[in-house]
Amino acid sequence: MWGSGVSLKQIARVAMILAVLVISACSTVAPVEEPIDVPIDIVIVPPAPAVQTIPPLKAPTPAKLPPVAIVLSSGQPAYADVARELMLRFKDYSVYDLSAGSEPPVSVLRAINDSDPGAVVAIGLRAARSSVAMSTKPVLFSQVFNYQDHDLLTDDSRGVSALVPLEAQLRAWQEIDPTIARVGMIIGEGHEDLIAEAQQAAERHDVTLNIQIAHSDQETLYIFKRMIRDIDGYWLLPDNRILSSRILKQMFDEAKSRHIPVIVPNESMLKMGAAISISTVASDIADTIVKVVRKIQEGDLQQVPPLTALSESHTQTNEAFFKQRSAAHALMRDTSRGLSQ
Amino acid sequence: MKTRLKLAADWFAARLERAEATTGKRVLVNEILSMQVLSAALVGALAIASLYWGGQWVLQDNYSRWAMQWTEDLNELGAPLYLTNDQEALIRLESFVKRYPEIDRVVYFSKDGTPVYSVDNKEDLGPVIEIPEQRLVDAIKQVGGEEPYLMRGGLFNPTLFEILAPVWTESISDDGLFAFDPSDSDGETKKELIGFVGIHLDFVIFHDRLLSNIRVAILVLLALLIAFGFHGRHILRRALASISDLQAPIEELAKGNLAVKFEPAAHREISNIVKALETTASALNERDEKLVELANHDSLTGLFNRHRFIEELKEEIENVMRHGRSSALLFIDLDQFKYINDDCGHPAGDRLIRKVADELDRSTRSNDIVARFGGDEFAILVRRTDVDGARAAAETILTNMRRMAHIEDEKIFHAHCSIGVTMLEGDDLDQDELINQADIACRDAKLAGRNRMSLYEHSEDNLQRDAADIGWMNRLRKAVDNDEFELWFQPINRIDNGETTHHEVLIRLRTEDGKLIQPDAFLPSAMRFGLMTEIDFWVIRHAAAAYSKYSKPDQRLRLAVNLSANVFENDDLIAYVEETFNKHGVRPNDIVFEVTESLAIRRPAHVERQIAGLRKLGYEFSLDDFGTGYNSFSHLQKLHFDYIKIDGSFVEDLLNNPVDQKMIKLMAEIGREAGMKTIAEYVQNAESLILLGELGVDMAQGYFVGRPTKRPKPKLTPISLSSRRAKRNSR
Repeated sequence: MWGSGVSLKQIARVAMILAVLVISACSTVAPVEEPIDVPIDIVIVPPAPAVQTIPPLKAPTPAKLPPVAIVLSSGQPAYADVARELMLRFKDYSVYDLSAGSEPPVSVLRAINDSDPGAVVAIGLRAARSSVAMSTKPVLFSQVFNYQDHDLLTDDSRGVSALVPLEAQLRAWQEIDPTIARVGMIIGEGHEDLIAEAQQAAERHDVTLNIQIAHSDQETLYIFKRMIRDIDGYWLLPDNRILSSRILKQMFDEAKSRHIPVIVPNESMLKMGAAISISTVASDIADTIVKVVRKIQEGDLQQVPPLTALSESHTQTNEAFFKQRSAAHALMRDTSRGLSQ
Repeated sequence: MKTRLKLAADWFAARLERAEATTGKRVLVNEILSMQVLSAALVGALAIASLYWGGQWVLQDNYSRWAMQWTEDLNELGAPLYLTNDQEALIRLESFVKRYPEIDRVVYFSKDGTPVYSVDNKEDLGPVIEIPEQRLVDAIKQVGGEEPYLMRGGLFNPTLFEILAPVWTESISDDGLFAFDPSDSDGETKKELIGFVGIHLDFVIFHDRLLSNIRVAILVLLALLIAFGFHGRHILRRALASISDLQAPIEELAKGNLAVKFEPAAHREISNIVKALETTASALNERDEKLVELANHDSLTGLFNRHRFIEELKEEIENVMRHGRSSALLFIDLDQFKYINDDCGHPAGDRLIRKVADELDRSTRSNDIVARFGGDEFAILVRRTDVDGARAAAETILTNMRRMAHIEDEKIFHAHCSIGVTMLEGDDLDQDELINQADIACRDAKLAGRNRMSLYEHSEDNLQRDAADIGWMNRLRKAVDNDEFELWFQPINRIDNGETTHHEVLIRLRTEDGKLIQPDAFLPSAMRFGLMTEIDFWVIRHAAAAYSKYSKPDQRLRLAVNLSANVFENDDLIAYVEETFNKHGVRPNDIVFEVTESLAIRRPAHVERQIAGLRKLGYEFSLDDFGTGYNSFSHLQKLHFDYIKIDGSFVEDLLNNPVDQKMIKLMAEIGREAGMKTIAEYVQNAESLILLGELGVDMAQGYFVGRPTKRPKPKLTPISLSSRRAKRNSR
């Protein structure tokens, strides 16, 4: 190979690839669709002959991002924070808040189409539905959980996951609570992919996962009350179709009384008695969106998976819950020791 | 239970009646106890009623809460509505329902009210029916509400409850829960009705238990009431013992035992009553003593009176007869006392009497008894003395009396006296006889020249006189007791027209042989033996009876009734007159009371009160024997007489005695000036009658006018002034 006249250019390209690979390897979050340890083809490059020191090559400047139209379902923090992050990354953008003003979504989308952005980033279900239905440009939606109910995935639309990857969630959970062995989950219909992901994650972490399908909050509560006797923890997914305030309160009360930790995707639920919240990070969402937009820019939309996984997560624990559980377990141990003596 | 209660109530009532029948009065302890027990029973009944209703309220509240809890549980267990083919859920549902016997039936309905599934806990509940339309509409309105149910049942249907609750699903509108805030209860939520659950509840078990407890409470209350009754009775008796203790001493007090002692009371209220009773007893005692004092003493002199003296005399007689000793009785009559009265007035006479009393008291030994018999008569009982001692005592009195000078209006009067002495010795002694003997001896002393003593000697004459006096006393007593007096009526006519205005009532006594005895013959004895008041009352009674007997509707009957000085001494005179005359329907203005001038001026203040009292009732008064007394004119206006009766002594020799004519004319003028009618007594002939008319006299009484008859007969005077004038004019 060396005798065949390898050029400096080629060496530089390889070095760049290596650098990219190294950087990728530093990431702690695995992509959604693939297992964590994604087999990476690492090309071992023999050391270069001793030659004159060649000054490092400058990294090629990434292509300028296209203008984007950022459409928000509303100004609530879950959407606005992502929009804010996007505004930091995109130089050329327009932000449309469907909850503000009196203009209907159709007028807004008409305006968006007229502005000819490179892509439409829809944040939230309402923005995603309007954008997918009316936009003439590629749409990338985020912060939408039940996308399948609304047929948001089309030839011209893709999504960013609304959840932290399930495997990462389970890993983080086990790190905090290594006693977890049996986990329960109740979800509505249409999330087969999510169910498969969860099962894979459970298998990887040697956790028994009991997943049930429910169709209403009543059914969720019914299943939950029967499930909770046989699990060590409950994995709450934000399927609003089968959840209501009234049953959430009952579920958390029931879990608390049995010292069963509940993992939630939303920090606000810690107040209700959840043990751990593992939520998405707005910057990570924005970065993921940027990546997908680049791909769209490169004309590579078809190569983009329907839903791109996120990389980061933000974990918070409810210390009071764990303290109470420890105390309860200690009491139980003392009691059982006393009985056995 | 009711029968037992009735028996108990009857027993109490019977006891109460027996107690009342025994005493004729209600028993205080029983009354207080009855009121308290009744109040306690009332309060107890209210408490039990409150307990029942309160218990019902509490039960209702509990029923509601249980019902709500079961509704929630059944809502959750509502598998038939939102789970398909989950047999395990249905089994679970059935076992839940079976756990609660209060749940009769649970039915799940679809959205349109059609029964989907039911579980029965009892048999024979009937078929399950659809929900009525209106109830369906009402139930739908409860979706999502704070009390998402309809409940039927309540206080008046305490056991049966029916609940109908909608079953619905909820879901959070916010996709992915990105904006979920647990504290935001108004967050968007979608609700979807999926059906209804109906529950039929029967809480009869609890209601029966409540009733059972109420019954126990009633029994306990009754037992407490009975115990309270007995205990309360004991407590009350103890509390009222201090009042009961007053009964015996008060009874003693009522019997007249004024020396009764009251035990000090522990309670302030009773103590006040005891104090009042002691004060009353003390006051009664004092009054008693005063009355005894008055009954036994002469009010003017303070000496024993006749009544008391006689008691002492009786006792001394017993002592004399028992021990065989002798004592003496002195009867003292002041000489010419009447003249002092006439000369200086009766207050002067009273002062003299008091002086004489003092002197007599000083003149006797301490163990001798001095009494005033009335008027100017005194009696002295000289104990343990013989004849010489009695004479000496009498002489001492005479000497002291002779020495005694009484000054009145710058005049000196010497009050001499005549003393009659009789000895108390021997076996057969009688107080009336002794008094009579002393009286006879006193009269002998007066006949012998006054200012001396005379010793009674048991001679035949004296015995006869004695017997006569005693005989009169007995005769008069018998006449009073047996109504042997007779009333006769003499008309008094107007001189001008000769018509009878009224009749004087005259008392007569008939002898055993049928002769009528004039009052002059027996009234002095009656006075001497203290029978005058009884005779006066007898006359009043029979005059009233005669009035009612002889009054006619067309003929007015007016009577003039004589009253003695003695009867005015009686404070019951006015009451007796009023009662007696009212009883016989006598009109007061048909009665004229005749009183003598000597009475009228003897005790003017007292007589004035008595007369005023009778006049106030409507009776009229006539002054009898007018012109025979001293100072009579000055008292006439004070005493307000309606008539004055000119003494017969002025009329007897009228035709021949110009002085009498002048006197009569003067008396007639005085009468006219004083507003009084004049009546002339002792009119025996027509000439006297005519002359009396010319002298201005209004009326006449006498044999010429009309003789006394056994019944009142109005009689026209044979000749009158008017006819006389008519005759004269006709000439």
